[in-house]
Amino acid sequence: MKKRFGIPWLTILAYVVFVFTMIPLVVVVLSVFTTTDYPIFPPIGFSWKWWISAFQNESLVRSFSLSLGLAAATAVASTTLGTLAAMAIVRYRFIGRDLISTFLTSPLILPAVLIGVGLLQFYVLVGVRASFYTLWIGHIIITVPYVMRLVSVSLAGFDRNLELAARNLGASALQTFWRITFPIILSGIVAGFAFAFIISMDDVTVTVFLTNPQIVTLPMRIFAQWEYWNYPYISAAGSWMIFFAAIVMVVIERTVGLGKVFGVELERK
Amino acid sequence: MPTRRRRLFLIPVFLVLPLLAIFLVFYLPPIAYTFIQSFYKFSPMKGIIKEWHLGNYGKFLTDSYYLGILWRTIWLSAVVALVCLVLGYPVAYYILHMAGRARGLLVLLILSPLLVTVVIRSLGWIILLAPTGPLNRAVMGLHITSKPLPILFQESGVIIGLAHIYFAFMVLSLISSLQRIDPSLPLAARNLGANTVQAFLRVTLPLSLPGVLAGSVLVFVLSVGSFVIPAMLGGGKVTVLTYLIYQQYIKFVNWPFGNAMAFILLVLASGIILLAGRWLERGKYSAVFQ
Repeated sequence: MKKRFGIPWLTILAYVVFVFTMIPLVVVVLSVFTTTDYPIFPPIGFSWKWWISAFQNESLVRSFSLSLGLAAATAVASTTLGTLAAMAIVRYRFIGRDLISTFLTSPLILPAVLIGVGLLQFYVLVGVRASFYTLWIGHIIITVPYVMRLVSVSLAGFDRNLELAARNLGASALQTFWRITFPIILSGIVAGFAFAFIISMDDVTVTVFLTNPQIVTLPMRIFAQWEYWNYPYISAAGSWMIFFAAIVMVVIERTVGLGKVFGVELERK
Repeated sequence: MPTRRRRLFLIPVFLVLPLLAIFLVFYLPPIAYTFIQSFYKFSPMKGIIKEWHLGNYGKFLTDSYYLGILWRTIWLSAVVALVCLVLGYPVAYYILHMAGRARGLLVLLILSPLLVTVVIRSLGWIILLAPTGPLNRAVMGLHITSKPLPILFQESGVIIGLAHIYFAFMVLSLISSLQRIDPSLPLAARNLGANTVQAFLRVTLPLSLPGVLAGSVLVFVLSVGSFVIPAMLGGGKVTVLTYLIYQQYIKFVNWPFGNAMAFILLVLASGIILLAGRWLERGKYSAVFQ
């Protein structure tokens, strides 16, 4: 297979594309080192002052911890609820199963804007004020379909004889779940958790309709501020999220493999 | 025995009920309410008037300003899908023909930016494409132009940003389709006397068309629904449908009209999916992103 590829332009193109995908992230991180009052690449001079000023900026730090908390709460809720629902849908036959399955994964196809404006109007109608919890509900709705799909995939490729064997050997239904089923579908659950976390942490399109000045997630703050105060500390806050995403990526890669999460087989056949 | 059967029947209900309850309260009614409200009237003085009419849809579909925005949304998204396809096909092809470890690494590197929020990637492009940014300084330094290139806050900037975020989806879609082609087929063509290019054009390419279509539809639909990139890289000057909806809510408070536009957006996105649906492959990859 190796030398079949005598086409250097294809290699060149692959690396050009690679640079294209990475360059905006590299630029954001490096531009923070500038000494100027605006982000610029390559940075002019070298200083740590914008990193320090980002850490001293109370509202940025508060937004970052809010984003982390919201993403964690969303991932926990979505993974739990989504895994249970996926088990019901893959494992059991019941009335309305297909309909329920389509219904619960439909937020994937709906434009996010529609989900955002729908929730906004609904909250206004029933008189609920925007809070962490109203935002949390919105984030659960947009992340749960990913969990359900990832868990369903790992459940579908599952040999049920393993469970029957455990039951025959005297294990209870609950024991069978924790000692057999759960470890086998764990990769799907971890992938679902990571996806839910990242999507919640990323979201602006739904969040923009559900925030108030007290609850501003970090991407929301960057989105709202960059136009007026585009100081390099905004890029510094963005860099925190890049570092965080890098950590999540390493965790996924070490546990389940990033390719598997995205449904690509990376091993050579 | 009957109690046991009833208990068995109850298990899936208990499993699915918590999530279903949340969706039945916080998902279905909001969407339904949005749809109903899209038929209500609005007056700047009195606010929302609960009288049914088709005026919101009529206003959008007859006014050339709104139709222009609809058209811009469609062609911008189509160009983005095309750019992703042209760049993504060789990359997907290349990745599949690499040795195991290198292949894994390259896929990893192409996928990893997906984990970083769109807002920050837009920020990177703003710094790169700014009039004083590296691209324009290089272009002007080489005396290719004397003025900064009009990319940022223009349609071309939005296209670059959208192609950047959705490129990985196209590559994934193409890989999963190219992977399913039996490698002995192009080899057979070669044995029968076709050269590399002929074998590719007459065997591999036609067999990968489902992936091409799936990827293009996916990127198109994602682009049509994207909000952050057109808002940030368009700088408020490149109005697309999502941005128009956002404006209706935040600035003009004409919610019924905004609702009508949100449903026009839904029809546009799902219409394309339905149209392509029969060819859309249902492979491993569609298990994650439909």
